[in-house]
Amino acid sequence: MRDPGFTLTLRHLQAGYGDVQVLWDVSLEVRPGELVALIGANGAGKTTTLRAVASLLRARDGEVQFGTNRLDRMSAHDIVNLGVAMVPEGRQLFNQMTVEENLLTGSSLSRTRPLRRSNLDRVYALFPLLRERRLQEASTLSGGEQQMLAIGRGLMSAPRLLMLDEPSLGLAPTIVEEVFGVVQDIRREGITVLLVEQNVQQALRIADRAYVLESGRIVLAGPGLELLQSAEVRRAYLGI
Amino acid sequence: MVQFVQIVVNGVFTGGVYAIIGIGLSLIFGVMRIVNFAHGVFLVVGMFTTLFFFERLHVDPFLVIPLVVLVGGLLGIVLERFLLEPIVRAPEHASILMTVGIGLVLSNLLLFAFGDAPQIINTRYSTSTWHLGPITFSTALTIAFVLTVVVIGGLALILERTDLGRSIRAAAQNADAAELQGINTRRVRSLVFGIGFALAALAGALLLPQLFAHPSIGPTYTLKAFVVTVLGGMGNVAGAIGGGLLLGVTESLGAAYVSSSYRDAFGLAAFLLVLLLRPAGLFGRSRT
Ligand SMILES: Nc1ncnc2c1ncn2[C@@H]1O[C@H](COP(=O)(O)OP(=O)(O)OP(=O)(O)O)[C@@H](O)[C@H]1O
Ligand SMILES: [Mg+2]
Repeated sequence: MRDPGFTLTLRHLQAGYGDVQVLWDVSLEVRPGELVALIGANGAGKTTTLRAVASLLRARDGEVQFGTNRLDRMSAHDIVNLGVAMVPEGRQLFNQMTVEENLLTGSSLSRTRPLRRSNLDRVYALFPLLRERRLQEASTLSGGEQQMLAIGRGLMSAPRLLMLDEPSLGLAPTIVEEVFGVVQDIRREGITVLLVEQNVQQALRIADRAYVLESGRIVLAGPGLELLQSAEVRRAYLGI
Repeated sequence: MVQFVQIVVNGVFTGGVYAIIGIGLSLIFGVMRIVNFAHGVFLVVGMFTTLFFFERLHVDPFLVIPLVVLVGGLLGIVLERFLLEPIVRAPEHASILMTVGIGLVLSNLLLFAFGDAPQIINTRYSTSTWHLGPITFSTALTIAFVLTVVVIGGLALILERTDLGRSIRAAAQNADAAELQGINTRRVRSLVFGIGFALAALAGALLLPQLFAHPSIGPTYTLKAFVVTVLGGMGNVAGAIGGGLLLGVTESLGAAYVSSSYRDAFGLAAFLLVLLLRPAGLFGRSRT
């Protein structure tokens, strides 16, 4: 699984919507096996960054590279086939499909089709509850269960790199703990993780490294625990 | 009583074909979020393709149908790829103008190629019948109905059980999320438009033995397809079956008991009634 060749590199990325530029010169790097957090206030551009990496949004300038592949020139579905998956903000499940159908949508790629059964078992092992609910419509799951399904669905394409956009958003504290536990499990399986979080303290605690995004610019970077101690981060994001 | 049963049977058989048209329109709307104003013209293209293969090239009628489906599918894929894909992200009116335009161009091409005279197809099925007790069945309509059931059943299986079907449903429910699962939504759109065209063309071939084909009848069928889809709930394939049957039976009853010259109006009346009472369609569930 761990291949030294697959580093995600963003170089001088510029992106936006219509006339509004959101990202200004964002550069960052996620190396194989790392768990990297991307934090920042509401509207800083975290989601925009992930969408640009996933090619749901075209970069205006700059490069996104994964291993030797230029992602900014590929379509979103081809990027998934390369091994970069994303669990979007707000879960975005296929609500009128069953739990299992949601999971199966992620494994119709040429690369992952043969691994379908074993990937499904792996996801069910990680989330036993989803197996119990496999024939239930996704819209009938609780918020926490839906988040687990969204993460499970992201794992079905057997990604090398998983991008998670605010997986703890709107969940009860005990469920938030569970989500952070799952993120660490995923990383322990050898999957590289790029984690966007508003839950800054917990994200920095589990991250190897982190980047702080402010109004579309990277303003701080460093090891998670180091940023957790930094006066700037404590003032701006932890209210200490 | 016998007469009533006879009329309902005819209505159900025709309604099955209407369901096919409605399902195509509904699939296209579900995945592409466009209302296809050319849908009825696709049906007419199916009629003339059938006439062409059968009358001019003398292809066996059982071979003609798969050929017509194939031609329809390919035309749909090509039209989508070159005319609709470029305006995927454009405002809604762009797709309205485009599909209206496609319909106009196609029907005028048909006029140019086949002329203005109404045409009928002469097969031995057109007039032959069979009997079940006192009820008489038209052979052509019976074949049409059997094919309809097989095609709708097959389509339902594909949508429910296969990767392609799941990809189509995923793209309809959330296109961005589908892309994030590795689904090529552009390909899904082309395919769905191809399926829609193929189904409409099939419906044209199946209805041909009972109708005069004329290049200008497209809009009537676009309207029928709308009625079927709205009755069943936009984007709801199962609902389109119910909508098609309801329309077929209503038309058949109205034509028999009130006046056959207003056949098309009865469907519209039923449509307005349903919309007044159940705005989300008969089988629709409100979108959240
Ligand atoms: N589809 C869009 N069209 C126009 N502007 C947008 C769109 N999506 C986001 N924006 C704008 O881009 C900026 C960055 O948004 P983005 O969603 O990337 O922020 P974020 O860091 O993910 O915030 P949050 O923590 O609230 O999720 C915001 O100012 C937002 O208003
Ligand atoms: Mg966001």
